[in-house]
Amino acid sequence: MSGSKLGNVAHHFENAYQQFSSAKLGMWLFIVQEILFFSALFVAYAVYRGMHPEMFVDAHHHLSWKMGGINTLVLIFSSFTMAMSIRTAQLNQRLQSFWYLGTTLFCACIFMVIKFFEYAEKIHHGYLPSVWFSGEGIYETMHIFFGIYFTMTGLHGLHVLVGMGLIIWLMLETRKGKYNSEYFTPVEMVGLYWHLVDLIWIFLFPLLYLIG
Amino acid sequence: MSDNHEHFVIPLKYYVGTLIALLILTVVTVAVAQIDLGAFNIYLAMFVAMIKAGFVIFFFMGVRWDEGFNKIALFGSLLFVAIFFVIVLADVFSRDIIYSTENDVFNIKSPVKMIGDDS
Repeated sequence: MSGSKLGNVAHHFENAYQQFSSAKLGMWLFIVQEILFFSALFVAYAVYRGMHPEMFVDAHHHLSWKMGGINTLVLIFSSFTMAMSIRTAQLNQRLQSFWYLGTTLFCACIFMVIKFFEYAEKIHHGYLPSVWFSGEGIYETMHIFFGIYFTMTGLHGLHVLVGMGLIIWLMLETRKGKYNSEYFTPVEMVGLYWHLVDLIWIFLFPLLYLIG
Repeated sequence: MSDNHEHFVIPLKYYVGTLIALLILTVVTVAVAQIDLGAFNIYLAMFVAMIKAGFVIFFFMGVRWDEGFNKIALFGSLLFVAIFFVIVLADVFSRDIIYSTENDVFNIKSPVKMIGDDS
């Protein structure tokens, strides 16, 4: 094992670069799978919106585009700080990398807090999916919109929570000095994952909050 | 593949540029949504979202400089997402051309019969 600076190169790899490259391909395959899995939910959205166009427009007025908009800006900024933490790790700037990760985590927290208030309000007024729906509205089918809303934002929120856990792990490892210009694979992989989370929100925001 | 293969560090200007572009486009989406353009709103919103997605994919995720195989995986999946949309939507929203529905109530599970079939 050639430990030290390069990290450990497993025996079935030629060198550290090939190992990095393979890890990245694996990560891309995971991301591709995530895109396909979310695409089913977007198709469901398209089908039901096509069937109940007026209901969708009416239902979305119960969502606050201001809260969704703030969350969009927060998530975009966190994607930037994540990209910067990879860059600084590549340049051996350990402390900066640590604080960029910290900022990303902070943004993720803001996102989840805003999401929490949004959910709390919907639940309080009974705007829930399926048989749990007890809100007021002129359309009987409104529970469909909230079913889609809670499934899509819920799964997205779950991804944010997982990402937060991964970022905390990266921060601990960065503090120990595990990453440098030769070995930063985990930072790069979590970065790709975090950008995917941002990517999905880029589509969710206009579809759920801005239809008109 | 040589052992001294250097990792490519993406120039800072791409990250800053992408951040600014994404922030501007977010403001654009919100602003455009306040104007009522009828059915055109959704297409415009999706168009802007796709440009934003392009920025994230090419620069933040570094696909612009990535290896070909990773690109094939990504764009292959996006192609299949497109096929998924086209086939499902073409089915669901062309049923009333082929089938007659009762009282014009049309749903995924509503019983249908061929137009002109009176049995």
